[in-house]
Amino acid sequence: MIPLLGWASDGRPDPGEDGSVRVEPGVEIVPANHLKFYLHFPEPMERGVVFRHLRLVEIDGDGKVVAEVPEPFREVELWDETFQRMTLWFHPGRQKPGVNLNVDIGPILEEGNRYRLEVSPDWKTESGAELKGELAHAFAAGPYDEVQPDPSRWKIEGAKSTGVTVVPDGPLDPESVKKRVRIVGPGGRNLEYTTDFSGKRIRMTGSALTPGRYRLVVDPRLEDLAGNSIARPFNLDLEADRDFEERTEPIEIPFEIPE
Amino acid sequence: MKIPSSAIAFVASILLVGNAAGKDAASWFENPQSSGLELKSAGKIAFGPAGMLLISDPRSASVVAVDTGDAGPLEKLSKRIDDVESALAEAAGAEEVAIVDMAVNPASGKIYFSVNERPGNRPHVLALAADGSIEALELDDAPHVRVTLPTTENAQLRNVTDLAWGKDSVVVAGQSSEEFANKIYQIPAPLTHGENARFFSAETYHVAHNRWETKAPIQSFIPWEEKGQFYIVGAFACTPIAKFPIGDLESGTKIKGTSVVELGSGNRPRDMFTYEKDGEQWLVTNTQRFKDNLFGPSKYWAARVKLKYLEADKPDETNENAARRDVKAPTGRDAKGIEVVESLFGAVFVSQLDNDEVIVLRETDTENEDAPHAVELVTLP
Repeated sequence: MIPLLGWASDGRPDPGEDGSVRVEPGVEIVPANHLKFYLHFPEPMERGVVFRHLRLVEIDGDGKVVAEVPEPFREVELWDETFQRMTLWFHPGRQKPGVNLNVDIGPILEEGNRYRLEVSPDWKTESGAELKGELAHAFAAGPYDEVQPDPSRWKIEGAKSTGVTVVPDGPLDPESVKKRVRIVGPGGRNLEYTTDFSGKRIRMTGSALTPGRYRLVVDPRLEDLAGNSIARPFNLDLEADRDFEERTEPIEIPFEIPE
Repeated sequence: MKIPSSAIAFVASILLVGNAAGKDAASWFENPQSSGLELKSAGKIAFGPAGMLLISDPRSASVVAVDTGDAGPLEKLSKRIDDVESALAEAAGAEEVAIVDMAVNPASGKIYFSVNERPGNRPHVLALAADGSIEALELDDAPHVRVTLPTTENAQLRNVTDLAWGKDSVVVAGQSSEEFANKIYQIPAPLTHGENARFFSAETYHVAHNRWETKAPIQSFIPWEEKGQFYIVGAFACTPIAKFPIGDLESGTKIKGTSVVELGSGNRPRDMFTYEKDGEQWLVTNTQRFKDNLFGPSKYWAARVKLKYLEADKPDETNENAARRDVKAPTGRDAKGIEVVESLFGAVFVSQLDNDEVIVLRETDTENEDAPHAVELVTLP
């Protein structure tokens, strides 16, 4: 996991609130082996030729384009059921150090460089409307991240009747967090809640938590931004490490809601 | 030349898709619905036996099997159809359409398209007949079943990368939007409403990457039988071809694929099929390069591989030792049975009509991705 220093504050405005495209993770620094962004649109989008509307450029400190990054995306359209969230993968073959595409073409991101993900205004919504507002997301590439998330280093920062705030040991995939982290109450009861991860903290709100003992249960398939899961690192070479055993048991972090 | 018995069994199973004598498509359904079919979206399509059309509906995370009633007789496309997008749009009553997928019905020769209307993304399924006429498939009263893809491990993999009929079942490859994961679903006949799919997680050795990929998604596949075992043979980006045994496994099993052929990096597979010519059995996959057009006039190109490569099972012929395409020998003796198929340059979609012929949706201008496409019948080499 890369350090949290230099990340956007949790309280910054949601860039999707004005009807523009919201990009997750919205953080300012991603690891150089970052794998994917989630693009949240205000309404369902036109589909079929989306990659002509997306490009990644390297920029300088003033935001001027240095060069377009060639062939950065794994060109498979991945939508959620609303067709408002698209998962945009960087090509894994270029992001894995030492594999052939990484060697042939080079990595997509280089540590220390700045980039901008741009969405063309020509990309219309399903109803034919134009997108509004900011259609670009600037970020920088930090160090490579090949360290798996480690929930034993997570901190429960605030456990109140209104919810729980958790500080993980580094940035996580925001959508993976929503799927893989849950709260189990007294008697093994799964609780209903909304999970929000804004780069630094996981906030889980929803069911009123009555005083008692709870567990934060983390599925080992939880991934960070570079695809490292608790179960296994993304760049695992099973030929070199034949004895590697994938972690399959969930990790539990107990906490208490005081009287 | 002796033809491997397993290859014979496999080709026979493919031909069965279009030749289920005495049965109509609905006979594979349990409690079919006869009205009210509405697609929320239209994704990948494929044909099962006797005019059974399989349609993935990613928005509802399901696969719909429709008895089209289109069971023949066979009439092959009589002419090349230029600017098929305009013809499809007119038939759909739409300003424009974007083609999602194409599948020829081997029983009748009609060519089916799943398309999204523009604007609005309304899904349509349209059929192109031998004389070039196009009609929308009437779904309202079509006998059908809808099978929801199971929610597994707290995730529903609604993104279907490919689907096919094989061994009296629907086989579906799906991938996760959020994590680097894939699933193979198998839905056995009789097809019924509800969740009755078995599923498997798969990982395989990526020869080009020289290591085990974690859970890379399968881009296209075909069902395959070898020595009584049921496999799927799948192709991945970059482009290993691997086989996965799914015959008698418990649902939820993690399976490890065996890479048998490597076509080279920088390719994304699109379709797969097999055929026999002059006593030789071939597996064909058409792919899309995302690097330079190194192999010919288009980024869309195809390779054919001698089927005997799929029988590889020893360590010295699989995974890191799998056969690799020689980019310096596109055809001929030096290609050693892994060859470029010249007649499939520019093929965006390829769907097999019979052993000798395929239907191709082809680029008409390799420099202009907005140029309309043409549909034609192509005889295999």
